[in-house]
Amino acid sequence: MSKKIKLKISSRLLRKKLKKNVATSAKQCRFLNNPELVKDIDYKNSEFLAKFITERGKILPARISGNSTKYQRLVSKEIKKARIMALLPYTAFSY
Amino acid sequence: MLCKYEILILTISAITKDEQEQLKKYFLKILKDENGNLISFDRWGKYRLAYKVQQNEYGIYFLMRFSVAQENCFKIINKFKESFAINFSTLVMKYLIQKLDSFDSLDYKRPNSLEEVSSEEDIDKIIKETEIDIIKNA
Repeated sequence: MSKKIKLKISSRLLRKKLKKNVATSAKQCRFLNNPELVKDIDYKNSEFLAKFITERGKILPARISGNSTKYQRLVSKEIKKARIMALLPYTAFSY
Repeated sequence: MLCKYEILILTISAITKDEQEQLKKYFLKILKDENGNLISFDRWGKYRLAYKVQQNEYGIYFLMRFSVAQENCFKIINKFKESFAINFSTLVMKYLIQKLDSFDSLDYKRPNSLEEVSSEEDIDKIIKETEIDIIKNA
């Protein structure tokens, strides 16, 4: 008769499994829900674009901002144009 | 077919009114020569720049929009680029030429300049908030 061996699961693994089971609300693209916001994606509108950069001036990735690929590309293009015209910084530590 | 373009120009903060008018007249002359139409020439005002440009911390922005026939668009753009490089090299620090879609509206949003001074109420609010922060940190 073969004995069933119970393996001990570490607490770290348990926490990992619990995290997977917990339902996390996925971020939704704000531009898909509100098509009127697409007009605000403009290199001149630096106040709106500043929401998509970090404190250090880096562009936020789509998995954090929640943007779809189409609008993430638009936003990043306009941020780069605004950086050329000194409306937005390249890095936060410029002065 | 008409093509619409906009040029955002960043000049030094020490630009005088005469030099601004000289800029505008020069651009109007170029447009006239190539049968273009000026849509708007807006002065945004003085802004603090996100980083130093040619050792300047402040600058004045101008936004110029014009329409021109498709055949002459490249000529006009090249003339503008030459003028920025040769005639106005001391005044103009940066410029960006952008083509506009014909069906897009001409409304746009821009950040508030330093010349758009806040009212006294706002200033009192700011002072109160800074006092509270100082007391908390002390």
